[in-house]
Amino acid sequence: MKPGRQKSDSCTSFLESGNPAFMAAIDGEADETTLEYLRTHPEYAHEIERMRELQTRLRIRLFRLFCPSSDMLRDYQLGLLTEEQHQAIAEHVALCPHCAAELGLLTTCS
Amino acid sequence: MQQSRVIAPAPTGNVQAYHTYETPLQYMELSVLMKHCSAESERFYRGQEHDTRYSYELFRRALVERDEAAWEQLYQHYTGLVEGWVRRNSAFISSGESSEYFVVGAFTKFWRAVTPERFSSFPSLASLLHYLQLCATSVVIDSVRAQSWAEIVPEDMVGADIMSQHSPDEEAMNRVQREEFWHFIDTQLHDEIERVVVYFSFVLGLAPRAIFSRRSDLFTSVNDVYNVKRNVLGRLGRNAQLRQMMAS
Repeated sequence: MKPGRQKSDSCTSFLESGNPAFMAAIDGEADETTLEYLRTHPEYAHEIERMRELQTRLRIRLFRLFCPSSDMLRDYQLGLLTEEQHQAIAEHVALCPHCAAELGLLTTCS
Repeated sequence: MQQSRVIAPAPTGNVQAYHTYETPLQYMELSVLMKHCSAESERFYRGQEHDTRYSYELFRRALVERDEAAWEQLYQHYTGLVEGWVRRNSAFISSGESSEYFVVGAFTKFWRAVTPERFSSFPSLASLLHYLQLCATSVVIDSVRAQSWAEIVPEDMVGADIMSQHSPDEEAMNRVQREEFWHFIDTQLHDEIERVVVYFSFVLGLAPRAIFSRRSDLFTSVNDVYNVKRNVLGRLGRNAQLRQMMAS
């Protein structure tokens, strides 16, 4: 809290507090010290819940948006795609742990 | 075993010398073909030398000629094999689905993927069976994807529109809408660092520690990831247009 602020300003969004540990609470990565602080400062609970809901809504719309279908991964694994498709999927798999794991499953089952 | 052979006397007139001609496979009656398939499959399972031509012909009729009777026989002949593959897949056990669900799904994917034009990409029975096995695996992968999707959606946010099965057209439209949503989000980002955090957080669904682990070249510590995410979420949360898009 900045000097001179009224007590009611303690409810100022924790986003403005600049404390990265509060963000960790949204993803379940907060340490015990942060969790204990949040338990003793319930005014932050609403803000955390609001951010968590925003994050969930974003994930619902964006989760694995660019991942190829399992059919494409299957044909990629066998080399049945065009060169352009193959390259695009190779670049994606290098980045996406989910597709990399699924490709591993296809390779194992082969 | 019934065999289709034509016996003709030898040109010399010696009745004890005959030429025998086997019916070309493509003209063989389906019931006869299936007997050969069963016999050769039995030899395969016993580790004996076996002839794959008959089963390959069965696949050809089912997939190139789109012969329904041949397809039905193929399904019956190989359903046990496919079920074995499914049951040995580690992801099957945790899926909660029946093996029959995956078997049907595997054959459906196989039928759709191996068109008459594509059949030549599979020059042997082994290659066809390999592809059928991969189709079974991809059905399992689809199931696992659906499960992971369900894990990110809280129960109170599960609605009929989110979890219902969509037609291909609806799925395509849905994807277009989601891509448009991503393009809008992208316009709200200030730099590549924010783009990385947003992509890894919401498209890949990774937590900040995992993001830092993967992109430690961009961040000094996980706190940097938290800070970027805080700024982005704050900005997005105040965006009236975005709130409207998410409400629709």
